[in-house]
Amino acid sequence: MGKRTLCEVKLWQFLDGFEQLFPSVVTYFYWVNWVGLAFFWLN
Amino acid sequence: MDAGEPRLEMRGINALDVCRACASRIEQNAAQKGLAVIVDGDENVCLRADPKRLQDILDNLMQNGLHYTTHGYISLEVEVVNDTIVFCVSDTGRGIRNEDLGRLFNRFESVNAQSDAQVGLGAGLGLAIVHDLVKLQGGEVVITSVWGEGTCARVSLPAGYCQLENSSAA
Repeated sequence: MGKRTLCEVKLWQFLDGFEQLFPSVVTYFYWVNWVGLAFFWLN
Repeated sequence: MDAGEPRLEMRGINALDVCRACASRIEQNAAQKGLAVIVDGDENVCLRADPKRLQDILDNLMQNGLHYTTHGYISLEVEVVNDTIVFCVSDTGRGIRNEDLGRLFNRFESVNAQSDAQVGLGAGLGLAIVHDLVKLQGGEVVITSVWGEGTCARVSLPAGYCQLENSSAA
């Protein structure tokens, strides 16, 4: 794992905080992300 | 010049003061679960670090301890090892299986996914964030655990040249 910038880490922290408020939303986007990648590979 | 990009604000801080502040934030929830919160270490340990990021690191580890511990205690100890300040967050929780230790810092990967869903714990970002924040400050984090007995997270940060800016002593 490469060294990240503080900016990147803050974004992850934001996402983590957001996830604790609205757990299902982040889970939804996580799966959408993988489905999107799979779609990209298949095409 | 990259104006606007967030930077670490490194300054001299008292390690035990940070530990006490982190412990106080979970004390109430720990008491509700019947858990003791222990803070231990030398009063005069000082390090050069970003206080906000250090708090984030320790808060995250303490919260994990709180979630996975049903009896006993959560402790936060600080010690000096050569030129390194070591924070040790340990608990008497259920621990982590050996085969899961290697993927603790992977993003979106929770080693206890099923039970995490039951207690409403996150998407598996917390320890990855801890890992990144420690690396950013030139340190390292190592997690050891015995399944059924508890977990210990050791965060080592370089002491650096330290001069306290906010002394609690009047």
